[in-house]
Amino acid sequence: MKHILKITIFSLLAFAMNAQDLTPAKSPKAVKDAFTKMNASTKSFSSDFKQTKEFSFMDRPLVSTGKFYYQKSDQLRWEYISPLQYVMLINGDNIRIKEDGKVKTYSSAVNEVFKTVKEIILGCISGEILNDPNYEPAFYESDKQYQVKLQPKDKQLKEYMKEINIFLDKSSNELSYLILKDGSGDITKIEFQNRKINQSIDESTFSKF
Amino acid sequence: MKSKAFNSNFFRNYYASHSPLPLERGGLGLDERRGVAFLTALLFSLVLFGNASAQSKIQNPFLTSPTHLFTSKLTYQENTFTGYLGVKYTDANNFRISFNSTMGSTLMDLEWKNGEFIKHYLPEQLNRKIIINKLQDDFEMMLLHILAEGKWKNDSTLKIGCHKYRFEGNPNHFPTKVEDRNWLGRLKRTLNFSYSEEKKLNTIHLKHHSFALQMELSSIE
Repeated sequence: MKHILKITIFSLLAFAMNAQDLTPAKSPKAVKDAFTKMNASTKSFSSDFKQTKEFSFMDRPLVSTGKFYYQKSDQLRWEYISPLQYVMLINGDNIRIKEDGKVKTYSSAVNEVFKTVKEIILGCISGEILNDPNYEPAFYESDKQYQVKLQPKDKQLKEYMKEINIFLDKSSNELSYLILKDGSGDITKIEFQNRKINQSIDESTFSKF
Repeated sequence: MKSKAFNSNFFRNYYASHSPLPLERGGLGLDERRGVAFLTALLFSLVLFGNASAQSKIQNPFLTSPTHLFTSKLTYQENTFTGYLGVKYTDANNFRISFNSTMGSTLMDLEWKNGEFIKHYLPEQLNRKIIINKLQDDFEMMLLHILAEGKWKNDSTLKIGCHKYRFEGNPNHFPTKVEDRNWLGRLKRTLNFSYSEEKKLNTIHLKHHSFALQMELSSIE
């Protein structure tokens, strides 16, 4: 009985959340234009982030936090601080990862996996992923937000990533959070907090660990 | 020896007074031999029962909470991969795990349910028999599924097929070290557990001795 009540409450909550977020956009072009505007006006973006991973079989989420820096067009520092320390630096074709104190270097020019990783991350931040023909887009809106849901067309990529959802604040026209549905169907939400747009970021941020 | 003489005399006297047949001189009669055989079988089964019911004092630390979250570090030769492991634990026979990358993607979602091994999610690249068997073996040792499968030889040694697991425990009877040896006695894997002052599971470290693979889990509060 307790379980039925719990499931009912969760279903109603989920329905309420969906009802708020998943209203198909009256004008998909308006949503696309908002992303184009964001892309045109964003030269740099930095923020703290909170990543919440929900497991399908556990009611306890996994929360990670860190710092995020982006400089147009292809520089990125994605730094996890807690509970694990992990840094990913993208600087042009060069991708470097520091985990457990060791540095690994990859080239997105020759490594297909990292080319895709780079395209997804930078594409989501800039909004350019909307123009990528490898994803099927769907547009939604609520009073406060625009949402773009992207589903990969490629079967191999679909095995790892079922959906990418990008949320944009209507009032500020800034990226607010991402919701990723991975191959298993589990959900990861990445919220960008204390956002700073177009503030200067030291070049070493993208080259030094 | 004493009990054997007693038993022999007991049966001799019993059968002498109850059997309609006379006893042969210098040996046991047919009924007496049957009695000795019966007693031997009884003693043998008692010994067997005694071994099968040998119990360890080892307690399962995963039962202190229904869910566990760990940071994970997998090291193979010079390569290190960090991530997270989520575990939902009902008992040693029933648990589910989700292995994740640092960036949150699920790499595998596996379940042990009433003796069945279920692959809820496993990408094609990892879904290979040799990888799966190794993963299954390692998780069954790390998450103490072996406690549901094995037979205790004494209160610290568990036997499953050709594996012999030797347990060391702390004063709370939680395992601190488990050694896995093959039938030749060669050490194959070592598992170490550490606990917080609040007696909560803190770290788990699995080390292979025949190749350079290690896995470390650290509990996330």
